[in-house]
Amino acid sequence: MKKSAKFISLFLMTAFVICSDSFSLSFGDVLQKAVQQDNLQKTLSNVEKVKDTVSTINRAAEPITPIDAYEIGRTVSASVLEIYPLYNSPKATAYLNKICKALALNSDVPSIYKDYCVGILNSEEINALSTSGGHIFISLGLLKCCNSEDAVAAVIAHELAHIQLEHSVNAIKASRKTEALTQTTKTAADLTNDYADIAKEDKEIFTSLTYLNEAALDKLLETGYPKEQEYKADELALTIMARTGYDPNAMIDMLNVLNELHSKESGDDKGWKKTHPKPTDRIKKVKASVSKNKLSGTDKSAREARFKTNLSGIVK
Amino acid sequence: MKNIYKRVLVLLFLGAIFTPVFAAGNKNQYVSVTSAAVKAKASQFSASVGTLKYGDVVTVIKVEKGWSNITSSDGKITGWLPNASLTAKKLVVEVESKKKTSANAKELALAGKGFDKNFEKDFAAQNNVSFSQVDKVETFSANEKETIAFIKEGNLNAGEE
Repeated sequence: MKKSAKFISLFLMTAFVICSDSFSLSFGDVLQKAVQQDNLQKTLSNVEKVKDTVSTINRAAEPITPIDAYEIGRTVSASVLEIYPLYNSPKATAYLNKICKALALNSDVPSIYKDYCVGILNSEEINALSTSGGHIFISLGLLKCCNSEDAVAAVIAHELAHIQLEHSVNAIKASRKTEALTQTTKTAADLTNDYADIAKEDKEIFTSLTYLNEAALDKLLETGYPKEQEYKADELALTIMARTGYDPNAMIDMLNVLNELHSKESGDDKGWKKTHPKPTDRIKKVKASVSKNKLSGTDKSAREARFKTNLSGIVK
Repeated sequence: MKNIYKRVLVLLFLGAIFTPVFAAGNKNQYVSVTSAAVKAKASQFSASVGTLKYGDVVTVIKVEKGWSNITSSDGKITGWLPNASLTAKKLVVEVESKKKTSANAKELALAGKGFDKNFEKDFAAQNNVSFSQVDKVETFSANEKETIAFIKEGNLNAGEE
């Protein structure tokens, strides 16, 4: 079995064990032993452990409200802007924000808690980022890869799609659930380890489940969103582009430029290369989606002049 | 006595695991955006008939293609809002708008989806980030009137496919 498949199946098994009645019964048995065999102090200490676990589980169950999502987005944005300064071009910035608003107005989520906003990062690195607060950041390096307004729209639509599909909020929800699972199994492991008459194999199961959950969270942090979410963002972006009148094929042009860079650059640790699927894989799916849904845009000649004027000094 | 401890422990634990929140089927919904322009028709490009704010309660009359036909709780405004601007979950309006985020450093790094290698490290190191640049970015949002002119100029669509 592949390592990743093994990892996923073990993780699912963990979730199943946690959610099943048999687990809660065996956990109850452990607690029963705590009371039967030990003094009050030990029992109280176990109560504390369970209380902490309960509070983590409750946190995982709490909804993330629109205000929460906005504040999380602001904090992420603040940290991005501590590292990358804004590129100072009111003309280019206003242009990008109008493209964003045109796309948003034609989408199913025309506004979120606050308005969407776009900032250009003064960085030659090729990257874009969006937050759950509606903030979209596009690097100067990525903007330079665009050869039309429709290509810029493709970049913004992709980020808009991540926001509308709530990918970062869902990642946090998932991490809270993982944390709850980790703590639950850790508490169970701690409690079982306290008692000599619990079989060694049972203790080992709880301990290994703990490590497994911690590993799941770390893996998510290291590699960004699952590739599937990037494909879903592309798919929604294409729909929004077509509804707005932008040519969805511009996304293919954009990805072709990225693909050339992808093959020239070495290493996989640079921003978008680390967190996005290969451009060639994305191109295949984008082409399939454009043809399947018969997506098209309006005549783009009316947009050619303003693209060059508004992004003069940035694009060729 | 021992029995009571046991029961408390087990109940605490089981309660936490098996307490799903079931939302009852309710026609009342809450506005989930700071300012929601209620439209005369189910289109973002239709005329506004009024504005509702975050947390306002509305009654949903009917739902059609991603839009809800609503009436405000005071009955003064009737029109259409995008479904995405409404939620069935009760929203508590907080007076202080600049409350700190509930997310911890690891979660924020996750929300930043590995933008850069140093980015994640910086999250952990930062206790006090400045929000002044974020405030600046938030002023960049385009307004609707300008955007509609931009749409027309660029031969783009305003609501019609």
